[in-house]
Amino acid sequence: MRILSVRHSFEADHSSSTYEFFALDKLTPEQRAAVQELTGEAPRRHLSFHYMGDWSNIPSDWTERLLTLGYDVMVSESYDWWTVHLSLPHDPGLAERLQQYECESDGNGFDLRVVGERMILYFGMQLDYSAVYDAFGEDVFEGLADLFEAMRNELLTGDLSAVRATYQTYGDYEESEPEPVEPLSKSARRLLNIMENY
Amino acid sequence: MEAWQLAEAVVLRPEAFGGMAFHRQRGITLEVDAEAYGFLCTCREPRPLPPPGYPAARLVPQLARLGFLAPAEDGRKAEDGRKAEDARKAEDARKAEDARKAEDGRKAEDGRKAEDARKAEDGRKAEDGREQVQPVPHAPWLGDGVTLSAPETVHLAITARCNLSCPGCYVPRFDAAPELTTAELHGLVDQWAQMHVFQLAVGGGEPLLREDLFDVLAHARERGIVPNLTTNGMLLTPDVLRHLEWAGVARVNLSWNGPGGGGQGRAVTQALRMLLDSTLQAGVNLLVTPALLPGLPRLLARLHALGVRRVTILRPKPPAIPSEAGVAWYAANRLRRADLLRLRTILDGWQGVLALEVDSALVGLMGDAGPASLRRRGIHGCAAGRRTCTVWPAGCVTPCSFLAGPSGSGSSRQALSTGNVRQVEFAELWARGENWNALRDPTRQPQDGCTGCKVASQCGGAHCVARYECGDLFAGDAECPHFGKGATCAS
Repeated sequence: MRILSVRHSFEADHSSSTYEFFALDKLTPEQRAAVQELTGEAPRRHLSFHYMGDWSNIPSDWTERLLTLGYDVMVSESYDWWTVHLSLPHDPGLAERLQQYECESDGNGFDLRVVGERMILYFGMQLDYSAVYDAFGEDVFEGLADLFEAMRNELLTGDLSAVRATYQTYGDYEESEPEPVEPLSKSARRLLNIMENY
Repeated sequence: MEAWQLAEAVVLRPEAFGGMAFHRQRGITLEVDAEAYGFLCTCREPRPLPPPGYPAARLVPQLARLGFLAPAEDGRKAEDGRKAEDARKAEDARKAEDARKAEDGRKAEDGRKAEDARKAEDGRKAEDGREQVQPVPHAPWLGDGVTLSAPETVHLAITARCNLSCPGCYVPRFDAAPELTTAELHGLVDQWAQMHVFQLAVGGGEPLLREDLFDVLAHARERGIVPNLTTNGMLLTPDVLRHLEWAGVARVNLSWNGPGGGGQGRAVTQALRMLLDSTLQAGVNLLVTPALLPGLPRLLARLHALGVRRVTILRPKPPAIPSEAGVAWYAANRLRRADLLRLRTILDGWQGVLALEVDSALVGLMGDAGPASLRRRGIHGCAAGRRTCTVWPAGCVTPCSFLAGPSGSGSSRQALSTGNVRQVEFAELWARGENWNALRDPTRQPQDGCTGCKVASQCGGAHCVARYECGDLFAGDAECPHFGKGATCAS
């Protein structure tokens, strides 16, 4: 039971896409200069874009460039589909483990790309809004950013709970996972509770 | 949150893949799978929130956010309010129409009566020897998943007459027959309403030259179809705008030809200001040519300064019927690959400032969004003959305004008219889709140059450009920036 597509026609300005970038540490002057050159503005911790109408995507290379220029978490919503990107230092061993969990279901799922010295983790998802409002209240962007920041810290310690939760929702999950099953972290259980696979 | 009900403004329509829902006030179109469609149908009556854990329980908040479901009690109150408002509007409309009719002395109603009388007398023949439209008994066609059961939007070129002479005008003069009468248009609107067509996009020529325009628009609204209008603005006056308001028009798009285009001059600015001051939803259509491209940022800035919020970017396309002048104009004004890349850069810079839309021939520029993203937004590229169609002033039906007559070589030698609404019921024309097989073939994919493009399945290139260049609707759009380098018609 699912909605396949949502199109806004004569109220195009009511349809939109939003991109929120969060930096865990303040950007350095050099990073801010590079971000300024790219986007025209360079806040130290939080960069936001809100676009209306069909033409509502940031330029294709901005996400990766911003996530290699000091921002760590990107949360995006477009027409009720949610995307979270995480930027981590490239660790070949961790990358290899993570790649076992790559999955895709109608654009949702998990993917990993290595960009220079960074790993960019992509999470695409739809949300169960009743669970989301219970979990985060009205500020879904902030709530998701906080949740994924916590799971980013877990990933840095080798805990793959975040990608396992995504794999369980959108992967070819039949009672088995690529690695031996351990309990999911508390954050990942929250994620599992709000993710929806229509 | 105890009981929910389908919002009054929502119309439902079954399709082969499940169904569609259209919100007539918000202009939102949903495509849903069969289970979700079944659930929506049950919501025509108030029903309690499904228990937690049921799939429908998860769908309700999303449908409520989009305005398709409303708490049952609020829904009833809203319905009462709407009924009162509708009654008031209907009364206003009647008064205004009476005044207008008395003023200009037109005899549209008389003509309709006379025609009805003729039809009653002779069930087989209509005036000027045409076969009268015969009701065709048939079960509603559900489409096939690629082609919808009915158009989402019908583009109605209500007249070929125009008060401007824009060099790139797409209106072909291939049909010298008289324009559809008011009665015929009312009958068509009734057929579209029966098929659950969602929207009517009325253009021309210049539609405001058509004397019965408001009458036709109001009839569409009364029958539950949302009418929209595209005009060059030259005939807009406060009085005309009031008439459009009571006729229930949702959105008026003003075609802005840019500096020196078509003789609009300064009047277009005045028309735009009037439009923006009205309660109508206003937008601007911009036909972007290579000559306009360098000044496009300034033009967008000017439109923004005037208060414009929505801009639709249109791409020059080959003439529907190649004429010497049309071919020459297209050759001089087509956007090449470099132009399209430049256009994309300019549009990127205006995101977040203007609500930008692009016509289906420019969907390739949105390729970075990825196929899933386009699919979720209901962006299907060129949907001619599958989701939309054009009805020309004399009743000829073609897949779109740019796919009409024979074009050049190969399959494009064949005209793409599927018939005339004066001879055959629209529903039958649509279901039959004669001459549209190539467009509707679910196995056809863009060839060669589109191979490897990640949005090929959602975009497919501009069929009219491919047909004009290569004689094949699915040859791919060689001017698209994503089109394979070096790929040609021959390859």
